[in-house]
Amino acid sequence: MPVEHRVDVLLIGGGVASVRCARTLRRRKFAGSILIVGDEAVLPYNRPPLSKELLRGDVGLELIAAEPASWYERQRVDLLTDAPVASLDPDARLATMGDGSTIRFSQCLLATGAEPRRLTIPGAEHALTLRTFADAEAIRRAAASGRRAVVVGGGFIGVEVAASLAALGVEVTVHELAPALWGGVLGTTLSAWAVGVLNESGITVRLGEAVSSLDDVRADLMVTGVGVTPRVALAEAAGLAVDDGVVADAGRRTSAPGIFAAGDVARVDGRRVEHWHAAREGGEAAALAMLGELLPEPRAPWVYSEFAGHLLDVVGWAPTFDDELPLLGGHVVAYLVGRRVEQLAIIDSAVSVDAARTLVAGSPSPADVERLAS
Amino acid sequence: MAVERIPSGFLTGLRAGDVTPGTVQVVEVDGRSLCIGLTEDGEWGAIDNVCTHDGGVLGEGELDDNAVECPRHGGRFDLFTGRVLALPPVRPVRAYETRVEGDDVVVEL
Repeated sequence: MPVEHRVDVLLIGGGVASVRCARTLRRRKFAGSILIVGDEAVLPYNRPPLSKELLRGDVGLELIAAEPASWYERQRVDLLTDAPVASLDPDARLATMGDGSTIRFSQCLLATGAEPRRLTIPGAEHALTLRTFADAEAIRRAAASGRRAVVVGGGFIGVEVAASLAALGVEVTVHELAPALWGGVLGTTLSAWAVGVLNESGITVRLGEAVSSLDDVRADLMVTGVGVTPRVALAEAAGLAVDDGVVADAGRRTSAPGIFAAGDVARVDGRRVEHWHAAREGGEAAALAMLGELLPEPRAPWVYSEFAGHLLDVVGWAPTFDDELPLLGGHVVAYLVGRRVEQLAIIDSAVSVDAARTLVAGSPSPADVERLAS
Repeated sequence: MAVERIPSGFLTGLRAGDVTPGTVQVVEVDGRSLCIGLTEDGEWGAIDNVCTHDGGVLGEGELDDNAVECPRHGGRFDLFTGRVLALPPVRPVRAYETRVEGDDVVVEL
């Protein structure tokens, strides 16, 4: 007879959103039982270092762990690794695991993340993608014996992977379909700066060129970084509202009572932000909502990237913009919708990122942004 | 506030009751910015206040067990040794012996 477990809070997904939710629940003195189920075989970890420190050097899993191994016991947070969830019944508040066992819960967080999109062009099956610790190790192994690498996709992951491979002495070419890096969403000013940085690191950048086949590419290593798809299958099958992600409000409440969603899989107030900060803040917000506590004031989105010794922070939200304006000696780029700044890119912490994040939420003028420098 | 050197260390200006267990805070001592913390177990520690990754203010971060977490990118340092416990920082911070004398929190600089 299949085993039935019962927990107060079930956190589905072994990533940062789940761990941050558990951490927040415990810091708020929640005494009930908490279970995290993840389908990877290792302890939950932070993904940002995968394309950076972990690719460049031999860094152990313990240095990227979301929490140390001892934390789970100390905080009475149970963890099941290698444990995919097969189905979810929101009305019965019941999850069925891949092995047929069931878990009854009072509240549940869906934090199933996202998975890399795969190209369908010829030869793409030989290309690696980067999402997991195992992926990063595979790329590092290939780089150790390889001299030439081709990276398809000049987004955050592509740029970071290219820079890390170059730091290892690999000759790298990046192909980006759009006429600017990051698919063009950060404009041409910032892209021109970044292309310069990458060129100085010996990286060739090809913009505005479609790659039609990877069969004839002369490279020892091919990596594709062409975006991710939210892993919504479980939510969809459970009948939750899904629209490019599991639809959630500021408290990460989904369309089903008692079910929350955070991290890459969640579309919160119409935005799906695929970033580590969003996963952490989402997990924290979900915990507060589960406890019925007041949520913090919503803050502007914040993502960051690090490559070739430079740090790039982007705060605010302007998927499309009317103008891009270099400010503060070119170390900050303002993205304008009409005459108001809706997004800022900050190079090498030229201004306080936290202050910029607060400022940009109020749709400031370019002059307001200039004043951040003082 | 005048910083007073007492025979065995520097007064931080903090009283033992000023810091909630399980938290860190910023304190300036002898021109140096420190992240000073008190664990849930009642142990005091202090490290340099600036994250070696990108200058985040560690004293504005969170303390969990002995780990101080930088509010910028989540790097973690040991409150007692300054050792890196979690990336992205790779270089440690300096740690300072900290204790309570009478009711005063004192650090060795």
